[in-house]
Amino acid sequence: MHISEGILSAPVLISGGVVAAIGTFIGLKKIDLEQIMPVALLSSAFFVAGLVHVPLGPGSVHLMLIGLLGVMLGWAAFPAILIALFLQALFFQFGGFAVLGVNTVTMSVPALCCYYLTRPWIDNRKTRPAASFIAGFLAILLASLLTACALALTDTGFTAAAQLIIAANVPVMIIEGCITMFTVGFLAKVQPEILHLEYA
Amino acid sequence: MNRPRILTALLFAVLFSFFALPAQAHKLNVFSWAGDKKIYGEAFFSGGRKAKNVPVHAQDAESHTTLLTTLTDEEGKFQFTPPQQAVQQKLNLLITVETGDGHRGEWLLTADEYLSAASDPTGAAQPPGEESAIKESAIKSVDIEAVRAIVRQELNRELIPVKRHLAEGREKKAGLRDILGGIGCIIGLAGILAWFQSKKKKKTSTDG
Repeated sequence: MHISEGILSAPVLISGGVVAAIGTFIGLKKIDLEQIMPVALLSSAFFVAGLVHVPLGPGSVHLMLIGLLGVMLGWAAFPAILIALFLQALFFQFGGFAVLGVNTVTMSVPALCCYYLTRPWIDNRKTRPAASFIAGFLAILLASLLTACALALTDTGFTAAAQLIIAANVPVMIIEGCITMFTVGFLAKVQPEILHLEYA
Repeated sequence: MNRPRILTALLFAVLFSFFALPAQAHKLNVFSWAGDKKIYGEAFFSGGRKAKNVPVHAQDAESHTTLLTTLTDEEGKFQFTPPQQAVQQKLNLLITVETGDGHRGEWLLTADEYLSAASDPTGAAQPPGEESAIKESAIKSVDIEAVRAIVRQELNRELIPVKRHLAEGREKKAGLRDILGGIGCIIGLAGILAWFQSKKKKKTSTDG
């Protein structure tokens, strides 16, 4: 999902950077002392998850845990993803520094959408498993679409890019759905306060 | 109250880093070398997956004008004869591969590399003209040229796996050190943020 350096045009890169900066600013404002550790933890998880390859489907894809980040962090997913992407570019040569803004947006916006769309159902014990699966699944789908948009704004046709990326990421969507479902279920039992749930 | 949370955090981090150990960075790699009269290359993702049927562009490294476009085959390999313009002007070739889903890799093949491999082995090095030279020595020198050409060809063939290895060695692999370094950075940043916030909290509590 990381767009490589040297593909996107300058306007796309700049607008990506601006949106990422605004999101990160809001995200940082929303982090209080209690939330710092969860944010750092999920940022590390995202950073490392990029190394876990999914050897299924046509492309070369890896885990991202965007849905999990969104559901657990809300707006704070922006700084968490930005830092993790920066470190991935630094250590693993994923993406690059010029495309950092665009990559942050294509992964954080889906996280935020998942937060607003599925969070009410995650707070409800009965609908929690289904809602968290949908969050994991939907996040990758949205991120694929946003990546395709970013590519289409430069030169590649939108449908061609979207088809390629979504086809490659279908296994990831299902795996992330399951991971999100189990992680949220586990945390709700063991550490409900990390999810800001009111009951144990 | 806070201790179990931090313990869970550490547990998760350790779990994830072990989970990730055998994996490698996710990046599109290209490497290319010059064989006899042709340029060969391969494109693959760093997990080892081949990039199949993907467009390959040979560009002039300075002006970035595309001189030639071809496709990789089912095994991610490609080959092409160096474009006329590049040979005449001795251009360094920037070989780029783009998968269309946002991955891009490039490889610089300098003019020296492909021109020395492509130089015509038969006769071109021996300009005709000095007919008056002693016949025997002429035959000898032709022989030397022929031998030189054969040696060059053989050497090229033998060196291809070596060149390939060298090219693969250029790829940086992510190891445990990188992973732990990254996690360390994140924890450090969290610490800085926590410090600032606790300072702010203290200030407001003393003010109020």
